[in-house]
Amino acid sequence: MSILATTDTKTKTGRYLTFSLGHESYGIPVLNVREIIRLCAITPVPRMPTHIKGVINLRGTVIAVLDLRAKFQLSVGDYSDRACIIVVQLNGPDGSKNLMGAIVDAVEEVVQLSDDTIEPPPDFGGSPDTQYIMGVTTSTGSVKTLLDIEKIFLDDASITRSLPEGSARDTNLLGQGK
Amino acid sequence: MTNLPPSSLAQAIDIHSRFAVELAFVVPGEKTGLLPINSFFMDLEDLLNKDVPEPVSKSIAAGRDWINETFDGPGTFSEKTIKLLNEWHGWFGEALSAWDQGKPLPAHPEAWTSGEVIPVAEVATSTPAPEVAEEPVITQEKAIVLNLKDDAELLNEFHGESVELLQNIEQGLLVLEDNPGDSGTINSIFRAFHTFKGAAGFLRLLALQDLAHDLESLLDAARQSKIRITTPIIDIILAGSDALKNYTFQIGLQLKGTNAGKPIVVPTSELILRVRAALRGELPPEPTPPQPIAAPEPTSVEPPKKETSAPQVQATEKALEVIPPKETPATSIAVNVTHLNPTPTTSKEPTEIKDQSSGFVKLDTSKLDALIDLVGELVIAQSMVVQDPDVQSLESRTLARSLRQLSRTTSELQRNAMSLRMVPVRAAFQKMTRLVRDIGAHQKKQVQLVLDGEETELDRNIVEKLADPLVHMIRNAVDHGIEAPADRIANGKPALGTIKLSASHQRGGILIRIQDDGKGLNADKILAKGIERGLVAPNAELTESEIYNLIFMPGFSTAETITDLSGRGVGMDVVKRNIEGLRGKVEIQSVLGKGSTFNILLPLTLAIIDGLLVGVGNDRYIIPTISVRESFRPKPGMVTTIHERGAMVSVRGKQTPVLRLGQFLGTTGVKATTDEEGIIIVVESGDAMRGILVDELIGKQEVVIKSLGETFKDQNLLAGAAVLGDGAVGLILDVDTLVKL
Repeated sequence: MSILATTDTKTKTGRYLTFSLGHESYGIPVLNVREIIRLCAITPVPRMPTHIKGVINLRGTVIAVLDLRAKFQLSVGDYSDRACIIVVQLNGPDGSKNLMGAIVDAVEEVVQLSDDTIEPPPDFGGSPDTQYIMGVTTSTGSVKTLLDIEKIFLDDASITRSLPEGSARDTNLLGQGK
Repeated sequence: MTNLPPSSLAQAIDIHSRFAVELAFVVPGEKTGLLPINSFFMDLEDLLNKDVPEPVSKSIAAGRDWINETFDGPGTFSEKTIKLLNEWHGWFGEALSAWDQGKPLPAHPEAWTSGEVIPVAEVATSTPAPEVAEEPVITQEKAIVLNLKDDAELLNEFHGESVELLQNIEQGLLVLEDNPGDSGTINSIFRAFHTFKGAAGFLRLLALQDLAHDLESLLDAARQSKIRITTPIIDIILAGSDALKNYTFQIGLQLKGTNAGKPIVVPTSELILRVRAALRGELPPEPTPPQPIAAPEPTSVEPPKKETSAPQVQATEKALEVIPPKETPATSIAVNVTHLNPTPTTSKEPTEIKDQSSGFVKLDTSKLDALIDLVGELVIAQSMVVQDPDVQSLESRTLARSLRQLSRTTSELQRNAMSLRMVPVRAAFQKMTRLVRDIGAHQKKQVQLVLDGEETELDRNIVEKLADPLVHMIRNAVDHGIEAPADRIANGKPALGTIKLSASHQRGGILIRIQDDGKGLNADKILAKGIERGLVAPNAELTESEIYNLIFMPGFSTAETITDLSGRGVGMDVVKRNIEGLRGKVEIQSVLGKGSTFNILLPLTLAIIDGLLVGVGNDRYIIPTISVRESFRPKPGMVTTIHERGAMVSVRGKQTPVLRLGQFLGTTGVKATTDEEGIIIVVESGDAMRGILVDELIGKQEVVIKSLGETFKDQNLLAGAAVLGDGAVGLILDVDTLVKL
């Protein structure tokens, strides 16, 4: 186990922001977190995967917002008034900086974790998919799953596809009966 | 005669025409265009390597030789090479068209290979003769005369930039004085002179260009450690930069209206000799110019800045008279000119020049964008405060007054912030004057370019991106629109062709119009060619404007444009793409034999669009007004269907497909349950039209366009987003996609 952990050259030591999704607790590196804002009105973007909730106006910049519960196929429910949007900054491989928002149920705390307290994700043999998971820690008293936020978001950074010509005709949406 | 596959010939013709574009921007002493032209020659060599008639292969070889000489030699174009290239281009064009038509090729000009220059009248007039850099002795001072009418904007830019460059040079020299070996500083001075030279060359300020060229060579030698920087060398360079400063100063004065149009003479010949001597490693002679200055007329010692008095005018006129005689020694002119500026060489008078440079601040555009974003946010916050129910329930007069004050100030602030991005199209237009002059001269056509509405302001991003399409279209107008003088006279037109380039406000945007009085587009030939190229079905029935639009199709080859069979076509698909990239449109009007008009309709700015805000269910979308033709509430029976699907509506006698937006987007809570409860917005893109059925029309609004970011970059349903008055995000529909769905 520890061998596995050391083969990963990237150190995981650092501060993590933890938050809850349903009954579970997760963490992401604080370095990626730009700010936390209250859940506000989100403009839905049509014809997008369900976990892309839409866009919001962050002081003049339009940013995409993801629903992490939908992303991980957790049970869907209404958001409580503790729900927030965590604004993360993604550093693209080409040096570009991209802001995205993630809706979480509640923000918990910031914890300092070191490599030796982080275990690699267990292998479930397929489901649930652990590709977005950096590791698991129990050092804070409860189990927290640490997410590879860049992987999650960069994955979604260009999820959208363009509409082919004539697609409305194919699906009979062009003036279909009432 | 060898037959070449038509595709190679077409490619050769294409290269030939791109060659012309590069050639038009080649400037003596500059290396701009050197690499492209070199690669054109290589392309031609590859393309025509086998079985080409001897004159063609010989001419390409000759061209490559000139370029190689340039590479081996100065690395920049000389007047002579440019002249040769111009001749070559003309000859090659003739050769290609003769070849295409199966006629005998023109003979290979012998002079090319022997290195001599054939005098071609037209070319010679546009390019003053021998290269100055090689001339050992200069006996005459060069005067520069500013074209204040046409080049004012460029000169202003040049002036501002030069003052800055010269200040940098001076500071650099002072560093060198303490630390002569500092290669970084030598490099930066070298680059500054180089930039200066380039700018001066572009404006044809030959005297400045020559001096800057020599100074640049001197620094280049220092850069390569061929000479050592010593105090006498620094003195020479300082003297040189002072002379340039002097010129710049005079240009500044003329720009402000003082002595406008008078020739500017600053004694430089002696300086140039000293620079060259230094370059050869000879000990520079003592600076002499100050001596004659003290001598004759003692009248004017004041700075010339505010002076428009008689003696000065006299002095300038005298300078004018004195120049022509060749034997006039430099010094005597120096005397006359001294009145214009009493301190020609020795200098530490930067104060006077400094206060000319203020007035502009160079600014990173991203800072500007951030400012505009923040102002937008401020306006939204302001309206949120004003409309807040709690605030409105307060019955306070002072509060109401303060809020009104706040509203006024914020909207004023917004207007100001928006105007920061706007620049007049003048600079972009004036560059075309040069292009027309060059192409006209080289094609032996008489063309004038008339500019109108240059003061019209556009977003600077648009002005920048407009340059390329304009070059193409103006070039085409000269190339294919305007006929040769003889043909024009035969057709009862004046020999002098006119191209009118104008800008004006129209339909909430800017209309740029390129109008020529040339031969117009020949619809029959364009259609025939469109069919030949497989762009239209042979039996298609097209309207005139549909036919004209064929020239914008990719693949509407340029092959015949040069042989005069058809109209335009050089890269017109690129032109159209560029303009559509700016959310603009191009329209063509043409009358055969009378001329063509290209109308480019552009939005005022890329940052703001006029949009229709429409509601579908609980969502709001923005449709750019520029694409909206009309909107109406359909009456029962107006929307008909085919096969019980395929709904359409008659718009001005044309059956137009209807897209029910709510249904298409999968919006929940669509309010218009029947077509008659909704509103149809008719949008168009290119020739395609579509009726978009929405629930309601909320209003018309100017919105600041925001990028949707990486996440949505691969979708084409939305063109962007905008922050609406209440702070929420509204999505802008991409009409180009909607009409094709």
